[in-house]
Amino acid sequence: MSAWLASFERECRIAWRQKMDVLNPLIFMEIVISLAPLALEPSPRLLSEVAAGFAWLALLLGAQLTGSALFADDWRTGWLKQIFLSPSPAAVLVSARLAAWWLIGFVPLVLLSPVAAMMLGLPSASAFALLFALLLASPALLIFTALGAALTLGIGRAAALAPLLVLPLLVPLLIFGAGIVRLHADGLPVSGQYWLLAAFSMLSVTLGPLAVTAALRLQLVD
Amino acid sequence: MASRFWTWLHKKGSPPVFYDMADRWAPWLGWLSLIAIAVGLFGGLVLAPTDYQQGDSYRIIYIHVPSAWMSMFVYMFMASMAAVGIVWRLKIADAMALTAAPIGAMFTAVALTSGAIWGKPTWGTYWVWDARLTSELILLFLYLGYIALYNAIEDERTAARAAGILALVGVVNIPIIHFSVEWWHSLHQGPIEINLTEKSSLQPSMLWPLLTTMAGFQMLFFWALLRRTQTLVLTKEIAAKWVKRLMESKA
Repeated sequence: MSAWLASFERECRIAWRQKMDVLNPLIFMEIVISLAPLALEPSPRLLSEVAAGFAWLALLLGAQLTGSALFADDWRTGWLKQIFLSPSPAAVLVSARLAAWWLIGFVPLVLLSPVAAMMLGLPSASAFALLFALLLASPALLIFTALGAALTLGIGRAAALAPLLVLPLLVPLLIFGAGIVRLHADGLPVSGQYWLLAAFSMLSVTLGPLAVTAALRLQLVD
Repeated sequence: MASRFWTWLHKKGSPPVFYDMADRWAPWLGWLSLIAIAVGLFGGLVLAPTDYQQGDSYRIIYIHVPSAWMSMFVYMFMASMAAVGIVWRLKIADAMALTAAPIGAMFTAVALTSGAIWGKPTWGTYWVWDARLTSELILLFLYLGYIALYNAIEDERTAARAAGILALVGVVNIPIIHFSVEWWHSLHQGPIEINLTEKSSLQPSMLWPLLTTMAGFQMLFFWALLRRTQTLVLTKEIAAKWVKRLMESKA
């Protein structure tokens, strides 16, 4: 546990210092959102209907950008070797890294999404439903993004490949999550959907670090 | 007992032994599958009665249902082979997982296109964003992702492991994807209940050709799998003595 905390603190500090890696996805997400009115038409009625869906899409795509930064320097700095040499299990250290990235990289993205959706005319009453849904979904989103990044770490063209692997796996998240705002707007109960999102995130958080660690271990084979 | 099992497994998994075994099995599978598909299609396209609602267009199920079923079966097969490859480091399992992927992708593509062709006269549209269509499409993406990852990594063992992890994550996710999409929207027919002992929801005269083509597709898959794996093993082990001996004996 103390190894986890120490590692978590270190990872937070490093992530915080790589400001561009944190900022780029945010800017990217805003750009995707501002393209929506251009691609569809700037009618407030239409936009407010698709706002939540677009916010979800923008978040999923924006999260893909963080992936390429997630383990980028670790080969060079020796972190990849050290986690497997360390007396604490590698999965623990990997999960500390993931937790730090969730806090520094994903929480701002999630916080920005409802704002972006409101730019498209999402009623502010629905914004909280959206925010809560995204927050519940974000751990799973991070785990899958990290898995994609870890699997494609050794490849030069990784940046293009990882989203291809990850996005199809995120379908349940999108389905459970994106429906929430619609249901909420119709005044229907949404707690079931929240539980489903939470369950999916829980499953990913339990099994995910093991899978990510297994994928990272592959880099050491040769 | 256990140790004897492992010796047996590793012996069967060694490339030359596998190659010989595949050579013996593949012709049987190939011919049987050809006969089963031919008989099944004759039964389905000629003998089976016309459907009172859909007319003759329903007959596409004799292609559509077997390929949709195979698309899922092959993914499960591929993931189990990947798991065996990761856990027991069996080369032949890795090879089979790799060779199964394009076959599975083909079955998925056939299921999607045959469904679209059937959908036009029946639903009035080639494509709807319906639950099963969507999850089948995602299955196709999972196959393509697997193949892309395998091809992108140069080192063969790393590629097999990485793609294997992806296949396993996919297999955990497939039921979730399936149910999530199911709850989302569904326009697709309810599943045909195939019940061999009691009364099935499909007429016997329509059912037996379907079961026959399904068996045929199953054998077709294993035939293609064995042949493709043989080719892969040959190219991988091109420098090995047994390949040289084999080539000389065939020449």
